[in-house]
Amino acid sequence: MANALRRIMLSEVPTIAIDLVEIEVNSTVLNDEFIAHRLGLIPLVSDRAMDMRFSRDCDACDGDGQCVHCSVEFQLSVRCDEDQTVDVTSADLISSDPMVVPVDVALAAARTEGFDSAENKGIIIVKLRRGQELRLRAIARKGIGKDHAKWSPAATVTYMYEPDIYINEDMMGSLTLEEKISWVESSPTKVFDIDPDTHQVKVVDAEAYTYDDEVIKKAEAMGKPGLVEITGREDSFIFTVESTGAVKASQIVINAIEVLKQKLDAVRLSEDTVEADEQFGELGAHMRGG
Amino acid sequence: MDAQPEPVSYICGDCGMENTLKPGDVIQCRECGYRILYKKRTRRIVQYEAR
Amino acid sequence: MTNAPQRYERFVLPEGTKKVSYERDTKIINAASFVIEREDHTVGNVVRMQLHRDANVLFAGYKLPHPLQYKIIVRIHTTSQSSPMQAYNQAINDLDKELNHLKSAFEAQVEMMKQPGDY
Repeated sequence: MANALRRIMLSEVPTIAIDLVEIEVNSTVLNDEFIAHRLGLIPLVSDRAMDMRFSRDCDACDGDGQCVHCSVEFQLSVRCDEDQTVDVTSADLISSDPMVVPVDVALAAARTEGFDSAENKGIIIVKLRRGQELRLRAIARKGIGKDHAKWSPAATVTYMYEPDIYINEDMMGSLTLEEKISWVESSPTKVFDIDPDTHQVKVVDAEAYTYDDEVIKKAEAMGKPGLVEITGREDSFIFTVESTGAVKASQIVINAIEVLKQKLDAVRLSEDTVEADEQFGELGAHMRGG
Repeated sequence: MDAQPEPVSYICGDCGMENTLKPGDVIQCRECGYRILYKKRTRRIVQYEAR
Repeated sequence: MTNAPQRYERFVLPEGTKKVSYERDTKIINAASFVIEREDHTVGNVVRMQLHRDANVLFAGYKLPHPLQYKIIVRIHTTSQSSPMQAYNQAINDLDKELNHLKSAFEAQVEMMKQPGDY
């Protein structure tokens, strides 16, 4: 189940991304398809995606995928009339739906106070010289990462078994403080620490353990094999989910569970399959009986 | 009757002058005589898949 | 432009195709194969693991015959106490219950940890 969820988060949780670009004027240095590709890769806030329709099974707009149920329209029109170069960014995209905007724009709007707006200029699409112009209309649609990576809501998803760390206290008690310190420091990540008062070795962060076996090797090198035993719990996982910003990381997990439920529901046996088999079963019984 | 072929405008590769050419015309800039002319971009809207 | 298959072929069920088809084994009783169209390891493995928890399932396995054939085959062999179809339905029902539990537990925990401006 852990791997199924990981796979779904990467490639089957839907998001919204620009899918069709109609270019009216483009006198920039980048060619049309280059700009279209760049627009597609801009992450858009996709909280609406789970309730939106895929344009391929939208019946409100006979197949052209341009209605309110399955698409969001963007307009972009920038022209440079000065000597300084002008940046065309994601902030220049004008959305038809205030719920669906480029993620950096949404983030900047959320942090109006104490936030240096000069720092966030949006995702650069192209730069314009004097006289250059870019004018286009873009259609964003719902999609999944399996179709194209631009629809993937997650940058990385990993999981590991939750470690079970058991310290042999008797053996640990036989160590000197110096030995304890050098053993604790042998772990590349801060998993253990020493109580300053009792000088007892404690597990401070089991999740920081990377299954590197360094502390086990150290114990063996110190002539204390079995000082610590670390096993992975096979029924408990620690997930790390990094979002692109299109959907909150926690929401990606929830949506992934929902998507898996839907997938499992879709693979249930249909009524006619069951019926056909019942008939076959009777027939088989006759044959065996006769 | 065939419609009269419309003259097409081109941009000179050297001086940037706009030239209108009809079929059979010599491909040469009227201003500077340069023989490389570039066709202008369409005014039509072009559609692309963003992938 | 190229002869590469369309990407959506991997997950869009063609019209007139059955999502799941069932095929009884002709030689062994209580053994059957389920062909699931447009699914892969995501569903295959999770169903298989759930079937392994069923004491009446003697064998459960799945295969993806070819990366360009967008289907999986799940094969189940059960004891006489059950049937492949029963075990298959049971596995899906149990997984659904587990996911419902996981979802509500996760949502409750997220609600607890919520802080304004989180991303």
